[in-house]
Amino acid sequence: MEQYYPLPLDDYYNNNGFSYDLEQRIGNFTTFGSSYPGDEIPDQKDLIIEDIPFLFPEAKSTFNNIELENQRLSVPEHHYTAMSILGAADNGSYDENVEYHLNDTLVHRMPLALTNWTDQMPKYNEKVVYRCSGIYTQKGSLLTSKQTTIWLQTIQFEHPIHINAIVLPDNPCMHLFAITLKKENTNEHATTI
Amino acid sequence: MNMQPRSEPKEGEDCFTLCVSSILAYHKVPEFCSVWKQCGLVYTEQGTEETARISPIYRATEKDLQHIHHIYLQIYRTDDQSSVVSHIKQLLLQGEPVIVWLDVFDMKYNSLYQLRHFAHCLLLVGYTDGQFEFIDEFYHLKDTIDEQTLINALDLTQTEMIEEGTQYVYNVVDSTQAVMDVQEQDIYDVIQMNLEVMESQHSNVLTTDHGRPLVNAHTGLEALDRYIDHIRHCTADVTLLTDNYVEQMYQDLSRISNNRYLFTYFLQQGISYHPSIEKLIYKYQYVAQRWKLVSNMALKSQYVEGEKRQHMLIRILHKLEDVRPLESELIEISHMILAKNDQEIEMEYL
Repeated sequence: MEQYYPLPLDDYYNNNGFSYDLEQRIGNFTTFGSSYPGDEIPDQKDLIIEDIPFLFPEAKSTFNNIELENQRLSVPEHHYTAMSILGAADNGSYDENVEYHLNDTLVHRMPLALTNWTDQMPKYNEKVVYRCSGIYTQKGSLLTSKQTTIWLQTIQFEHPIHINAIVLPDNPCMHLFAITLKKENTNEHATTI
Repeated sequence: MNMQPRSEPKEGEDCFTLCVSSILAYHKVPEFCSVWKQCGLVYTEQGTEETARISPIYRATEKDLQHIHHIYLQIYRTDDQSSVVSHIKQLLLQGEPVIVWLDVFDMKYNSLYQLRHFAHCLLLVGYTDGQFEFIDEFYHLKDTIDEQTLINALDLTQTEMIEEGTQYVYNVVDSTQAVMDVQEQDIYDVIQMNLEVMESQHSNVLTTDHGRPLVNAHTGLEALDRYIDHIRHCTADVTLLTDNYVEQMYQDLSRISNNRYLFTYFLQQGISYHPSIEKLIYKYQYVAQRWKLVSNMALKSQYVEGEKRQHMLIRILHKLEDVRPLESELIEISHMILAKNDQEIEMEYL
């Protein structure tokens, strides 16, 4: 049976990606202060996307995504086979290397790529999780000439990696709302032996 | 004129190249993004610490368009408001789309509306009863603007473009003699031309995109090294990291990124001529992405102050140090392409 570990990211969130019209809460996803229309994002902490469980940030929380700056995320020590992400890039599409560590040792490094939040088509084979009707500007209006998207991106490791930390790259144009790790199926491994 | 916004701009197109592309597309010029050929690095200082600049450009824009492609860019610069408006109306009446530079401060649909004075480019495509019809490809928008709002917006006095010397700037593109069939030797000649700049040869014949001769300029990897040293020096003193400093940094770095992306469209015309050109394109695309990231970091630094701005500049410095070996790789691959071509030419004559 497949097992997933959705990471609790509340302690790492450092950016507000959602705006709410009625409450006049303005987000700051991009440098110019544009953001997703928060009312179009379901207010739901426990999500299942493509059969993968995620912990999504609470609606109207002060911060709700990680803007990447070499954050070190602690994870339960285990063998993992994949990492899935809900996120997007702003002002361009980017790929960077994520490092996977066991204590102080670099165990593995793999690229993470995310498409621009206003692109219609994914550049890196992501799937659409949420697509909003427009861009919420810093001045509180909704521009509908471009839709905005949160993507699902999955990184499959070539072989299971034994880690207890993930080190994110330095790229303030990449944003992560949720991360889930897929654990190695040890029962299958035992059966094989 | 029945012009419509394009469905999707290409990576690297800024507001000006979007306007040129729109006109070329309207005139059914194929592969219209492939007309941008110069791809270098030029570093200049004007004496004060704030005025160190880096640019990918080393010759006038109109020369770049004329070279190989025979596309003619007419640039109008003036301080006379009344003549600007009457001339633009006349051009539109003649069926000429007009590229105009304007201040977005009073443009309601713009994300910087009443937030900042900022120079932007859009295309005027018609005039009727006091209303100008325009296309802003950056926003995928076609709309109208009343004459008075346009007149106010055309005044570039409060934008950085006033440094070029005139309040009003607008352009017309003549593509009637456009040649889009790029020959094999054209590809090698352009690679060679850019390589000479990146290896700091012939720096005395370089100009800005407006045709002004470049004085005391450093080019290529040396330009990048000097720029990195300059940032390292300024980052040590937070008082040097003024709003103007970081704004100029953003303008420069985003221009370099766009330039690298645009150059890949020209190179794509040469894929069939040489097996390594595809590799060069891939590398340029990656390098362009890296420059784009750094430029975005410079943009973000405009919205923080003091130690936070200093911290962002240090991050930028590290990213530029990562870009340096990538630019060096581009030079190596360019050499390899030209060397193989030389060998093949020699073989022909044996």
